[in-house]
Amino acid sequence: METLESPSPFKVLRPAITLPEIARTVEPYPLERKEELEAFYTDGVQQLQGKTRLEVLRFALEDAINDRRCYKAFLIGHPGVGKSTELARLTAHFSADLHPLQINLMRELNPGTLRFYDILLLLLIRLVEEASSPTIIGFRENHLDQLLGRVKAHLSTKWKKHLESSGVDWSLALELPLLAKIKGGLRQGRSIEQGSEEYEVSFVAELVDLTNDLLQACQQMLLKNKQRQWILIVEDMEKLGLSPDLIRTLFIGLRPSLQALNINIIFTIPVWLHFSEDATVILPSSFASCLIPDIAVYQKDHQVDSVALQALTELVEKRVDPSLLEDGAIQKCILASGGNLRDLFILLRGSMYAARSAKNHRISSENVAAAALSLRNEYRQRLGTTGSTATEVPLQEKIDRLVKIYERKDSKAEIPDPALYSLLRNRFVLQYNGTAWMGLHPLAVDLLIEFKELPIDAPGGSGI
Amino acid sequence: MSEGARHPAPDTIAGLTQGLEGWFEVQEPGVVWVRYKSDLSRDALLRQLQVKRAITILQFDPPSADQACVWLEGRLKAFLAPGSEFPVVAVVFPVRLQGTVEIFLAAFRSLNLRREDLLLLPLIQLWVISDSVSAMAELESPDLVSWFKLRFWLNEIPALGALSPLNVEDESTRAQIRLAPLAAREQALADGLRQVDAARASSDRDGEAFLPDLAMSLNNLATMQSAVGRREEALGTAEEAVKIRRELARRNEEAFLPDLATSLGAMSQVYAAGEDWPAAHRCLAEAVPALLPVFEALPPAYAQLMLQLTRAYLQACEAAQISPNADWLARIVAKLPQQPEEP
Repeated sequence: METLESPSPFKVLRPAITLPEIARTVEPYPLERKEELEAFYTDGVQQLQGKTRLEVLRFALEDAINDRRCYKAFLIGHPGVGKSTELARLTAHFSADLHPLQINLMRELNPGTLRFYDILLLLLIRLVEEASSPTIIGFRENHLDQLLGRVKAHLSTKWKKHLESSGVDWSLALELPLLAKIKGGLRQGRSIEQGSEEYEVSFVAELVDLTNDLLQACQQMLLKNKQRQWILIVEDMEKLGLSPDLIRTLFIGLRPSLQALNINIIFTIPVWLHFSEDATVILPSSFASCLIPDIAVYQKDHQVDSVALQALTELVEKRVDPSLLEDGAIQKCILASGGNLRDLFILLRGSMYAARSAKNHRISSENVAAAALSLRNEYRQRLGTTGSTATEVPLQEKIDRLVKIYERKDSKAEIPDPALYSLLRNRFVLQYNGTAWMGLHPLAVDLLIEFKELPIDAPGGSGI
Repeated sequence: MSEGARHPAPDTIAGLTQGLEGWFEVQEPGVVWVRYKSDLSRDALLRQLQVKRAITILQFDPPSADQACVWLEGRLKAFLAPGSEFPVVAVVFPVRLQGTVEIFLAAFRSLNLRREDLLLLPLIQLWVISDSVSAMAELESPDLVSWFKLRFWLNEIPALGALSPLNVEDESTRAQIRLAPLAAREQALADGLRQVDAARASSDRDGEAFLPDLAMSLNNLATMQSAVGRREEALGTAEEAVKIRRELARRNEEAFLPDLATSLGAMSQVYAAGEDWPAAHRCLAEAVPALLPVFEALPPAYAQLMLQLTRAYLQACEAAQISPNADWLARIVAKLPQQPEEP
C-alpha cells in the first residue's frame, strides 16, 4: 500500500466544507493509501459488506502465515463494491507479516495485447526488482547473483522475441535500467500475431520453475531479515473489459502456473467467471473464494434498512460536512443510490453541481432529485438493447425478470442466466449478503413503476 | 429578468453553458460527460462556452480502434500547459467510427484500458457524445464511465428548419414532420428507424427487389434525423440511400435517376442545415444533371422536383460563392412550364 508510486488522486483528505470541495473528496477512486483510508474509510460499511466472509479470508491468511504455507484465493465483487479498498486494508492489516507484490493489470500491462505469460513475466521482473532492493529484502546475498544470472539468461534466450520490441539491450546487467526497459515493453505490449505463438509450453514451465526458485530464495531472505512473507495480489482482471472467451483463454493458460507458484495469492476476477458453468475447469481448484456483496438499503420486504442507512450516512459524512446538506438530503441520496457506492458518489457530485447552478449554499432535496432524475435517465437508456450483437437479451425479457425478482414469488428468478447476468452487470439487480439474496436497484423500481409494471405506490423505489 | 431566464433548465444550451462555466471555476481536472440529442445544439453549446473561455475542440478520430487510448492520450498531452488554470479540451465523439458501431465500441474498450492515464491528466475534458450511442458506450465500459466527474444531458433540439418536401417521399411522413412538436418528431424518428429495419430485413431476406424500398426508407429517415438535429446520423443515412440509388440508376437510368436526384437533394439539405454549403453544392451539382435527361424527356412529370432542386442549387451556389452552370439553367428554363405550380 505504501509502495504506490503515483500521487494520491485525492486533493483534500477531510470532509468537504464548501460545495466545490465536494468534487475533491467525493472521488470515484479506491482508497489505496494509508492516509486515504484514515480520512475516508468507515467500518460500518465493512460490517454490512459481508464481514463474515472477509473475516474468513483474514483468518485463513493468518493461519497460512503461522503455518508457513501458501494461501490462495479469488476476490469477487461487482463493479464499485470496494474490492480495491478492501485489498488495501487487508495488506495494511498484515503489513508486519506480508510483503505485497501488487500487480495492477491496467497499470502495468497492455490489456489490449495481454497474454497469460505476460502476467508471469511481470511477476518475475517485479520479483527481481524487489530482490535487488536492499530496503525490501534486507540485504543482498551472494547466491542470489547466480540466480539472477539464470533469470537473465532465460529472459534473453527464451523470451527474446517477445520482449525485444521495447529495444531491450541484453548486454546490460539485470538491474533497474534494464528492468525498467523490459517493464516498459510489457506495458506497451506487442500486437498479437494471429495464428503464431511466440513461446513453447516448456518456456512457461521453465519460467514458473525459475520464479519459484527466486521466490524461495527471496522468501528465505525476507523471513530471515524482516520476518515477512510474500503475497501476490493481482488486480483489475474484471475491469479490463475483455471478452469472456479471452478471459477463459487467459485463465486456462494461467491455471497450472497459479497452482504451481509457491506464494500467497489474491486474484480479483469477474463475478460471472466464478459462477460460470465451466468455472471448475478454468479456475484452479486450490483457490478459495471471497465475495464482497452489495449493500442493501432496502430489506427483503422493501422496507428501509435503517442500519445500512446509518452506515452509509457515516460514510457520506466522512467526505462531506453534513452542514452542506439540508435535512433529509443525505438519506435521499443514499436511497436513490441503492447502496451502490459509485452511484452514491455520482449523486453527491450531481447534487453539488445542481446546488451550485441554483446558487444555493447547501444541497437541498430538490438538488438531489435533479441528480437522481439524471441518473434514472441513464438507467433507462442502459436497459435498452444496443443492437450491436445478436445475442443481446430483449428489453421485455429484462423487464419481466426485474418484476419477478422484485415480487419474490418465483425462486427461479435468481438463478443465473444471460438475462440475470446482464442485469447484474449493469447494476439493475444487486446481490446482497446474508442468505445471498438479490434485490432491485431503487432506480430500477422507479422505472418499473414508470412502465406500469408495478403499482404507483410500490415500495423500494428512490422516493424521488 | 425573469426567474426562468436566471435559471434555465439544466439540459438546455443556456442551462448547461451556465453550469459548465461554474464548473470550470472549480478547477477540477477530469472528464465531464455530455450526451446530446442534436449535434446542432452541441455545436451551439461549444460556441457559447468558447465565448468566455478558450476551449480546444478535438475530434475523436483515431487511426484504429485498438489504438484509440494511445491516440487520445497523445493528443491530450499536447494541450497540457503550465499555469494556474487547467486547459479545457472538448473531445467530440462521432456517431460511428469508420462507419460502424462495432469499431466505435472497440474504441471505448480501448479507452477503458488506459482510463487512469487519460482521466487523471491535468486537463478539464468535456467528452461530448450523441445520446444515440452513449448508452452503448456506458454499457461497454462501465468502469470508465464511473470515473467521470459529472454526467449531463443536453436535450435541447434546435427549432425546426424549413423542410423541403423533396426530402420526404410519402405524404403521411411529410405531414407528421410538419405538424409535430418535439416529442412527436422523436416518435416519427423511432417509426422511421423501424421502417428502415423492416426494409433492410426484407432486402436481406428477399434480395435486390426491396432495395428501392430500403432507399426510400433511408431517405425519409435522413430527413427525420435532420429534423431532430442529428445531422451526423442524417448524413450517414442519406449517404447510404444515395449509394443504393446510384447503383440502381447505374443499372436502369430511366427508372432510378429521379430517385437518385431526390436522395442527393435530401443529402444537400442536411449539409445546408449545418451551413456546409460547398458540400451541399456538390450534392446538387450531381442531382441537377442527373435529373436533366429524364426532365427533358418528360417535363410535366419532373418539373416540380427539378424546380426545387434548381432553387436549392442556386442557393448553394450563392452561399458557396460558386458560379452556377449556365448550360444546365438554360436547358431547365427551356423546358419548364410557363407557370409551374408551387408545391
